[in-house]
Amino acid sequence: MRAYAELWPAHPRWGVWAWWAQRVSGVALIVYAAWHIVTVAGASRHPERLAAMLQTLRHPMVAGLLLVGLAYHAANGVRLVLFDLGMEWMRQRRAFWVFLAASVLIAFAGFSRVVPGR
Amino acid sequence: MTRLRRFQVARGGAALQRLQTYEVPEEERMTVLDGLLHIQRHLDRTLAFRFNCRAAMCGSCAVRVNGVERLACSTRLSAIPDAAVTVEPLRHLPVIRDLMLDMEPFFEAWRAVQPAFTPSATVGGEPARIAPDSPERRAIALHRECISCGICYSACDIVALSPRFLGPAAMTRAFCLVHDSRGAGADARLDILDGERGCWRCHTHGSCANLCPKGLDPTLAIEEIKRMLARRAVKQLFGARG
Amino acid sequence: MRAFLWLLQRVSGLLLIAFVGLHVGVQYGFWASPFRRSVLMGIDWIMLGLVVYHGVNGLRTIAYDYVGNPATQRLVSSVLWAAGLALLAYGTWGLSAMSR
Repeated sequence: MRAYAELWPAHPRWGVWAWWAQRVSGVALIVYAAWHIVTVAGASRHPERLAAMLQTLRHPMVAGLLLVGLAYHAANGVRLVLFDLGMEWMRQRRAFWVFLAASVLIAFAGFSRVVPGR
Repeated sequence: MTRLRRFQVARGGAALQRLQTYEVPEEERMTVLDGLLHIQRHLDRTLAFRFNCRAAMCGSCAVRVNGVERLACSTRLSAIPDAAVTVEPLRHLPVIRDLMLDMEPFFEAWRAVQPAFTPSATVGGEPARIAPDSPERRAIALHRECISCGICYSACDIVALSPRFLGPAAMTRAFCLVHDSRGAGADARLDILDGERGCWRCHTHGSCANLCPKGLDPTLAIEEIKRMLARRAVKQLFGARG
Repeated sequence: MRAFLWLLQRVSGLLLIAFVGLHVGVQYGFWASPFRRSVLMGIDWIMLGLVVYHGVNGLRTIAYDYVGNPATQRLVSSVLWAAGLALLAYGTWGLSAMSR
């Protein structure tokens, strides 16, 4: 009946891209978290790795990318939870923009906290 | 002077589908179904497609028009901005020929949720009454009008990935019956919806609700099912302990 | 069971917002005293558990979308949970090593 699973969404709408971005950011954050956890856990044996990790995290591009991913995933996640609780307004494109704007603000706030001197 | 509208219609059996071009004279208020009928009557008698009521009530004529699932009888040519009108069969169902599909996978999923009313034990006595403004009646109001056209099933990306997924229509049907206080079988249906074919695979893309010709909202129905199942699980957990 | 996995994904996600926010926001210098450090490590440990659950369950959900066969699904699920548990164990050991 079908030779392959169709990977491209049949009806690409903003909601489907938001979902894709949730998944992509999630997987990226898992990779980062695994590296972070392993590095910190092994700090007593390999303190130089911890130092190197902290150095990398302070770099504006790294911090920026991480914070954007984290802020998006969190903000969109909140929107999804609110929808799951029954708030139908969360399905609107406008709700998505509100939460996207919030995630930008959060990323910004985090950036000035994490990256010295910015 | 009637202008000619280019129709590109999927022809052939399952593996050999190709698009065949027809030039159809476009009349005022003409629908896609009118176009297909014109092709069959005047241009190509071998074209196979389904239709019946021509009034968006039976669901027989569901097709894809320029990639979007629609009922052919209620899709005006004037509403299609593209120069060509491409008509293809619905997705995710085996093609018999041209636009005709084998609806069996759709109805297999339908049957899997126990779609018929299951009466509770008592017979005789007063007829059961459901008030029109009762919470259970209002909960299903939006979702009762399914004509099992298959449009939502075709539009669903999870059905694309997973043939075993029950799909929006079957789960919406189950949703309506679960709410019926006159009936037994709510728990059995909830178990099915809780299972590996059920609601947890839905990621609320909303393509189904977006395209339903009767205005149903399977996305909302499935969200409510998830909430019911979550509440049921928590109750069972604390009920077992306490 | 699936209902709990779904529910806990949302609960862990919301909790993680608070925990990660705290983790990123807190200046570790202030928390030098042993009591405060234990508190912080306790918070870190809970956060570790939440991250492992939320991440493994997320990966499992994605995998289940692309793996149709129930037996393969169970295998993938087992591998993911095992990896998560290993990470949790290693992280726990690391945290306890830091407190010594």
